[in-house]
Formats: sequence, C-alpha cells, structure tokens
Amino acid sequence: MHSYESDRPAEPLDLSTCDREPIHIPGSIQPHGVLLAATTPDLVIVQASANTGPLLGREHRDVLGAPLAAVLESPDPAELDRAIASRSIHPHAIRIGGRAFDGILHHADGLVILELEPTDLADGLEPPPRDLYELIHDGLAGLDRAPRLADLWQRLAASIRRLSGFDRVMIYRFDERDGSGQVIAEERAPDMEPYLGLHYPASDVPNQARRLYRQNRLRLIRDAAYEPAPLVPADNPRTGRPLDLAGAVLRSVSPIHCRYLANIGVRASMSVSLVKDEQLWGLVACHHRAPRFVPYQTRVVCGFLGDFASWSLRGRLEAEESDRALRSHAVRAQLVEAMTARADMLAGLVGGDASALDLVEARGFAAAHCGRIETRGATPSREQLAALVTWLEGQLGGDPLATDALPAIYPPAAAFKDTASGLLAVAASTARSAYLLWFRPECVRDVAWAGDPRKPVELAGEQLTPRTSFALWKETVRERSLPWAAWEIRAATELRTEAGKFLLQQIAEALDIELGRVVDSRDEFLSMASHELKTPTTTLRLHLEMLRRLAAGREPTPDKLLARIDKVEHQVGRLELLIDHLLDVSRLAAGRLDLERTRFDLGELAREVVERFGDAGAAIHLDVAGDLSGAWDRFRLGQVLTNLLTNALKYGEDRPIDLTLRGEPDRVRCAVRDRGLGIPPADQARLFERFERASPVKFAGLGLGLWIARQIVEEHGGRITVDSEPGAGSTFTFELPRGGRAEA
Amino acid sequence: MHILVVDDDTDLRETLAEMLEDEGFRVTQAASGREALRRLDAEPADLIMLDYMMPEMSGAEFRDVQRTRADVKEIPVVLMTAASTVSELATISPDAIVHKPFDVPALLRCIQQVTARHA
Repeated sequence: MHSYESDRPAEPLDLSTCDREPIHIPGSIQPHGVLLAATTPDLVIVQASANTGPLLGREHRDVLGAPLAAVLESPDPAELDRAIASRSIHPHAIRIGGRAFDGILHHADGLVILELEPTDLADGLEPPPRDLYELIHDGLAGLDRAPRLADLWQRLAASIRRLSGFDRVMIYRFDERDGSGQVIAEERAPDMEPYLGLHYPASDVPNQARRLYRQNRLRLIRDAAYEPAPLVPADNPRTGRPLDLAGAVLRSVSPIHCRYLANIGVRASMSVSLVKDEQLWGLVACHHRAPRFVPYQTRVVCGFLGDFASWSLRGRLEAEESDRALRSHAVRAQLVEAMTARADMLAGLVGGDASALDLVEARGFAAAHCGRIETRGATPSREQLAALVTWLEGQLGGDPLATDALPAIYPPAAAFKDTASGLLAVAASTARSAYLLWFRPECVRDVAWAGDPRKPVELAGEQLTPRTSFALWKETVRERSLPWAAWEIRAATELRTEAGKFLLQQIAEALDIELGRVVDSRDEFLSMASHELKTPTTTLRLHLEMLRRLAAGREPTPDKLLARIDKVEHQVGRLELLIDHLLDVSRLAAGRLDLERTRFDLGELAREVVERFGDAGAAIHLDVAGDLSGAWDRFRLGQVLTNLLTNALKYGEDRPIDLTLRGEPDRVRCAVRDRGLGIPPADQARLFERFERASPVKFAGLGLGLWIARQIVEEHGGRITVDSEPGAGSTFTFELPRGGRAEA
Repeated sequence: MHILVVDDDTDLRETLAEMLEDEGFRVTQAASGREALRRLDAEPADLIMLDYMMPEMSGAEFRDVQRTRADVKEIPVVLMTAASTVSELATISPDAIVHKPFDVPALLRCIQQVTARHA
C-alpha cells in the first residue's frame, strides 16, 4: 500500500536497506508546486525548485539571489516577516503573475522554506466553501458520538473521504508486535474492490518511513506518475548538504513507492498519521484512481480529524482500562474472601459464585498447589495439567508466562490445543509449587494478506520492484489463541500476589499450631523429667538421713563417717540445684514461663528463704521496711532470692550479707549485698547471660542462676541490676512492680 | 498411727516406709492409686502419703475416687510431688504438699501439722 519510499532501487532490497534510506533528503519536489528556500533574516533566495518558470513565470536562475519579497508580488515585506514568525495553520494567500497560491512556510536547516501550491489545479477540489472552523466542527461532531471504536474508525474514514473526495479511504492499523498492518475500516467508491480486513506485511511501511510519518503527519502525492522537480542548487549553501525536506509538503517520494502505487492502480495518494503516545499506531490511507489535489486547508482539517480520533482512542482505552481495573479489583476481593472463608486457596479460587475465571477473558482456569489441582471451565485433563505444572516449575519465576501459542514452546500442548492454545500462568509460590493457570482455546484464523507477505519484492527483468500481485493470499494460523492483553497479565499478577499472601498466612498459622504442639510435648517432657530426676534424689536424701542417724547412735561418734555424709549431702544438694536449673532453663529458653501470681508479702517469703539456708543463713542480715505485698509468682521469686543469696554466700568470703527489702508506692525493691571479691566492670554486663560466670576458675557451678533470676524478674515486668566494686563486694538489686491481679 | 505410702518408685517407697517405721509409725505401701484403694478396702489409714505421677491411676485419679467414698474421704492426704505448678496441684487439693526432693525433718513437720489439724 504505501511501501518503498526508498531511493536506491539498484541495491539489493530488503528491509534493512529500506530502513537506511534517506527519504527526508530526496533533493527534489513534486512538480505541482514550487519551493523557495531563503536565508534569514534578510530573506534572500538561495535554493529554488527548477519548475519556477511554468508556475511563477520566472526561471529559477532569475529567482536565485533575489530577495523573497521581490518575487512575491504580495504581501508586503512586513506582512511576510509576521507570517514567518507566526505558526498559523492558515496558508498565506499569495498572488504571483495573476495566479493565486497557498503559501506554506516552515524552517529547516537554518533557512525559511516557502512552498507555493496553486489553488486552481484542474484535478483540484474547489477550496472549501465554508469556514475552516465549521469544517472541523462538523467532522468532530460525528466522531465524538461514535458509540464503539469500530464506528469511530468508520466515521473518520467517511469524514475524510467527504472532505478529500478520494475514491478510497482506509483506516490502517499496525500490529504492536510484528508491525504488520490491517485495514480496520474503509470507505470506497462502489465499483472498487474492498480491502477491508486485508493484512499487509510490515515491510510495506519501512521503519524510517514510520519515523518520518510521526514527524510530518500528512502527505499528499498528487500524481504518482509525476516527474520530480529538482532543487537548484542541489545542496543547501549554508550546510553544503542536501536540504532537509522532512517538513516540506511537496517532498518528492521514492520512485519505488510510486511504482508500488501504480501496481495497485493508484494515481493519487494521501495519508494522515495516527499517533498515540508518540507511537505511530496507524494511518488514514487515501487512494484515488486519477490525479487528485487537495487544498492545504482541507488537508489540515483531515489531519485534525486524525489527531482527534487518536485522542479519542486514547481516552476510550483509558476509560476501558479503569473499568477493567475496577472489575478485576472487585473479583480479586471476592476471591480473597473466598480463600479465607474456605481456608483453602484452591477451593476459594475455583468454587463459589466468583472464580478466578472471571478475572480475565479465558475459557478455563486451573490452580495447583502441592500436587493438588482444581479446575473450572474448559481445561486440559488432570494428567495433562499435572505434566504442564511440572514443566512450569522449571519455567516460571517471578514473571508471569503469557503465550498465545503454547504448543510452540511446550509441544505436548498440541494434544489439547482445543482448550489450551493460549496459557497465562503465574506462580503464587514457587517454593510451595503453587500455580494459577488460565486457558484459551485455539482460534483458527484465516489471515488475508494483500499478496504473499513473504515476497514483498519481485525481480522484474534487471530490477527489483514491489510485488505486482496483490491477489488475496490466505494464511491459516493454527495452534494459536487470541493474545493475552496487558491488563489480563496485570490482573493475573495481582491475583498471584493475593494468593501468595494467603499461602504465607496459611503457612504461618500451620506453624503456629505445630509450635503449640511442640511446646505442649516439651512441657510434658519437662514434667516427666522433673519427676523422674527428683524421685531418686529424694530417696538418696532419706538414705543419707538414716545413715546419719545410724552413725549418731554409735559410741564413740565416728567423725570421719559424719564428715563423709556431709560431703555426700552437699553433692546431693548440688545435684538438686542443677536439676532445678536445667529444667528452668529449658522452660525459660522456650519463652514459656507461665507466672502463677498470688498475693503475698515478699518480706515473709524472704524470711522463709533465709530459714531454708539453715546454719549457712546466719550470715544473712534481713532488713525489711514498708509495704511489701504484691501479686507475683511466689515459687519463682523464691528461686530469685535463693539464687542471689546462694551467690552471695558463695562469693561473699564468709563476711556478712545484707538482704534489704523496701516497699515503695508502686513497686518493691530488694537488694542483696555481699562484701566479697566483687566483679570487674567488664564482667558485669555479661553476668546475666546464660552460662556466664564472673569468676570461672575459682568457683564451680553452671552460672545459670543469675540468668534465671533475670528472666523471672523481667517476666514480672521488673528489672535486675548489679553494682560492684572489685575487692569491696557486689550488690544485686531487683525491682518489681506490684503486679496486676492475682490468678489464684 | 497408720500411714499409707503410695508411690510407684519402689526405692523411694521402701526407704520412706523404713524411715517412717523408725519414727514409730505403722506403714502400709501401695505402688499405684488402684493398689492404694485395695489397701484401704482391707484396712483404713490415718494418713496417706500420695505420689502425683503414677502409672495405673495417678494421684489425681486416686483423689477423685477417694472423695466419692464416704469411708475413706476424711483421711488426710500429703502430696509428694516434683511438679512445681499450682494448676497441677489445684485439682488434687491435698491437705499438705511436700516438694521432692524433701528431707526427713521437713516431712515430719508436715505430718505433724496435718495430724494436729485432724485430731
């Protein structure tokens, strides 16, 4: 259709050759108008097209070097300056030698370019009889009310045909992926063969032509059989290179393109670029079987209508987009609710009023999770799905997989192309092997090409020429579905996020239950272990007691025996303490110290604990003052006091120990002070850590007592600190808030 | 005075019995709650020393049965336990508790207190 705006027919022609063609500097123009290039600001003509003689009545050599104003009989120079400075869309009415011209101005390569189009061409339409505004308004009104996009294109084609008088006006849309074009709307003379629906290979409009079409949005070829009028001199004297004609309305096109037009029986051609977001998405292509001139003003209106249609397309797409976003958000919310309500991802996605099938335009949906597969709608069989999911495990990462030709990348899919030629798949969790899959059936399409798309060029004698056969060439596309749209891929990705979140939450809940079980069985073990360990030590103690009595009954008292019994008893005491500590550490390390708060007086407990030390407790001086009642765990605080006093006795060098308790309004404070070795500052911080001991060599023990004390105090919401001076002794202080309610 | 010692640990039970006999008590032994109930059928006791954790009828289960039997429900119970949580013991509500490991003076003090209360 448009093809081959390329100037080097002698070279082997392929797409890449075409893409390099400098079609913006052909060095010539179409001969129905005149081009004059003048310096600025003094406006002296430095280049002119060679056809000034027939059109202006002055040969180009007479024009070159003359002031522009001298050539134009009107307007006056001041008006010309104003025109050059303005960006008016109106052509400038210029009369030369009694002939009326539309003067079209633009700047290029540092020159002012004036193109003059006569308004009285024989094949020309009459200049529009009405006001420009009226024309635009009438054209727009029809477009604005188009109910569907298809109507919009049809009306655009009709409006432009009415304005331009061309035999055929087509709306031609480029495929975003392969660049091929398709005629999506057409208005034509009744005796012409329809082109509607035809496809054209991408090479019919080479890349650099597309670039040029974005820049200069309207082109007219008045007569494809024209003889180009060269520019004289050939190069722009300012740059020494050919003048850039990208913005020129008279720019000459490639002879190959003209031959292409001739091959399809076209003499005049006009095209309007359709541009959205800086992308050339389509063209309005106009064909006429005879030469046809369209006045500049009418072309401008056609350009406006094209722009308006593009904006309208964009607005409609955005509206559609937001509709879809709203709908898919609603579906997603329903699915999240269903997954939660059923406590099952698969059931939530496939069952219920809404299913994941409603999210996109698919015929079937499957969700897989840890070997389970649930489906809705038309899907491959379970065995086929299982194999497909296994294949996906190696393919899918964070990005979705969207294909309209699954058999091409996964050959086994050929067996179920009827249901799943198209696949849209996302991984909700690759670790848990959770996948969501949407399927589209095969869509066998006949693509009607305007001639064999694989042979855009033919060899005619010694020359490459565009294809001469535009006979319908039908290609049947199989094992393909309709392609997935960007919004569908986005919707699937968003659902993947929700499903992934749901799975994570499920895992967290399962872990929580599992943790509860582990904790329960550990507690049971601890209870058993304490029973099993403590029973034999009790027996041991009783035996020692009886031994002591037996020994005591003898005369004379066997001192050595009694001393040994004391030693064994001491070891039994250590064993008991170790057992207690080990059990406490296991319990505390798991963070499950369940306090059993009762209301009691800490002073009384302190007295009891001191009594338990028996004779060893004589060194402890107890000093109690204030209200010491509160709700705490009596057994646990007994442990804290025991541990602190045991340490004080152990490290106190047999000097007096102060146990001081003070009641304050909202808390109680308890301090244990010894006058022993003291603890170096560096060791003080580590003291409450597990298995730390300030003096590892001198004294034995596991070093757990202080750590346990700290856990218990902190569990009560209190804190424990140490203050020590080496050589002068240590003071361990803990504070407890009075505590809330008592539980028992 | 007749004391029934109930504990599945033979070493502890026999040691305890021997020690209590030294102190002048008459002692009967049972290795489980079930056996304790049979002993009580044969002969009432003045005090029961009861272990908490035993196979074949635990201390708690024994206590449940004991409380339903008019002939034995008044017999005071001293619970011997290694457990340290109040909740475990609340279901048994013994007359006194001795924590394992205990020594002889502590045990005798406890027996004295309970019998004095029931005298």
